[in-house]
Amino acid sequence: MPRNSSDPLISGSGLFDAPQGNAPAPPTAPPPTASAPPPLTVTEACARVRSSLDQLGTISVVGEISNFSARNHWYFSVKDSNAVLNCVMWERATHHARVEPANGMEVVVTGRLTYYPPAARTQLVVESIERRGVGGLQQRFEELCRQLRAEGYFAEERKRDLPALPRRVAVVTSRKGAALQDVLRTARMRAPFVGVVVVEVPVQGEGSAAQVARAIRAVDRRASELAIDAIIVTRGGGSLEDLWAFNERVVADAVFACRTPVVAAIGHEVDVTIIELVADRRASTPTQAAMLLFPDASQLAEQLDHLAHRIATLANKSVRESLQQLAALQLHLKRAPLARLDRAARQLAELCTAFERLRPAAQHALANHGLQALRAQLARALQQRYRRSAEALQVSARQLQALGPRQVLLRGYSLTLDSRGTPLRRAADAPVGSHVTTHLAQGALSSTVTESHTNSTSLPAP
Amino acid sequence: MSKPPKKPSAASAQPELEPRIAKLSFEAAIQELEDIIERMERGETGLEESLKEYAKGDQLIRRCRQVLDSAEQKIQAIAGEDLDEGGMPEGMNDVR
Repeated sequence: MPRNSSDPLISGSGLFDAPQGNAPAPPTAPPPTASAPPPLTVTEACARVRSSLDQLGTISVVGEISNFSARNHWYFSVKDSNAVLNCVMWERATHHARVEPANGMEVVVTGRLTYYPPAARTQLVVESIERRGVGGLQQRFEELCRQLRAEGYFAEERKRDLPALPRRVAVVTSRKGAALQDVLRTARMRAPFVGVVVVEVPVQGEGSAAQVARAIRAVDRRASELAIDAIIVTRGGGSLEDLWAFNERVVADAVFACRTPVVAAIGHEVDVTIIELVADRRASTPTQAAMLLFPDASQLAEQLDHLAHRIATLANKSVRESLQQLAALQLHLKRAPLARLDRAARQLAELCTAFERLRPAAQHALANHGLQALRAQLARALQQRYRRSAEALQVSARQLQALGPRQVLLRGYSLTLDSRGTPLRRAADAPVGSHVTTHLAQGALSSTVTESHTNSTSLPAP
Repeated sequence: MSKPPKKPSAASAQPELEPRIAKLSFEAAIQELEDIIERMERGETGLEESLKEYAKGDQLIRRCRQVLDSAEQKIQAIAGEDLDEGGMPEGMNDVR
């Protein structure tokens, strides 16, 4: 029987010539005549086939796929011009396969040979399958990785933070791909107010790397013109060859030079491409890439609620102080009905009215957005603000009392009342043609308003 | 007082947004809101000013809600090479 010991598939299969084989019988013992070993049962013989195949360990075989059939498990053969080998790939292993086998495809299958006695069938249980020639790509990938790492392309310190709330996001991808749909769906769900610019490029095949690189550079160059604050480069899953464009130096260079932050999501989570190593962030899927850049509207609404609460609290404080001033003022008006105090009272009353005018609008806005707390606080604020202002006013009231209105008039100030005897505070309160009375330190003047300067604000000191 | 063009649905008690504020981006509006809060927190504003600031803050908050509530996403598309050659994405007429 011819032996070809260089062929791992055949060597070691010396089952049926066991006594002369290299194992397990003593190599040179002549066949004993008297006590020949009892014949093996078929089961025993097959068990020996199995165990000797086991000794081969894991082997890789290159060949062309034929008879491919995919149920839960993949069944196929690999062949060359002289021989055929049955293969099976269990379902669990197929999940990790990066190729979709097809008849005629040149592959390298790696696994263990077993013998299936009921069908007298020798088969390779395939653990992994790769297209032939991919080993070359893998080598190129590793080589470029080494170069780029040495040149600092992957350095963490050059990676930038992503914008919290981009105005627009550019999505560099194929228009037809599922990846784009995933990004758009996520964007719509989370942040429909962020604009999207889809920049269409071929994502596989001849010239695609150059096109992707060109698109990235173009987006970056025109980013401020188009209000683009971030870029997503994405593509769905595929074989190493399908994803190859994203492993090319030209793409790495474009991302490296890009001033706009880049998120890359290429292929499935297990696939790592060069662009993902250079990008500011890597995302495992297109959806995840979109989640990194499209903020969740409900979180922004929370942030807004928080700010609304703070500004309302501050307004409260202001109103509380004025309310206090008014209360004190009213008290002092009863005791000392001085013109200056009256004027101050009117000023405060007007501010109150202004706030009352504002309040319904504010309340409406708040009710619309369910900020009940804010509304309640506004009501409380009205009282509190005035209470606090009273204290400040009390002090000035006391000072005014000490001074007396006559003292003020003696210093050269005068008091002007309108026809109803109300002190005038603003030129606008006395329309042209109206009659006013001006009280001086001694005597009073009656005048008719002929001109009104509403904009002049301050007086020179007398 | 000149009235801005009427919108049929805006006949509520709410005053309309000032034109400047109505055009702000979410981020710019939030920034202004934070500035106002900071000024008010320093406590130097009197009542009159506080109320003015509050009214402005209210407008800014409403502008932000408006942005968050806008339901339709603007999606524009262009081929990479056209973008490189200076082309504008489809329907891109609101570039600021």
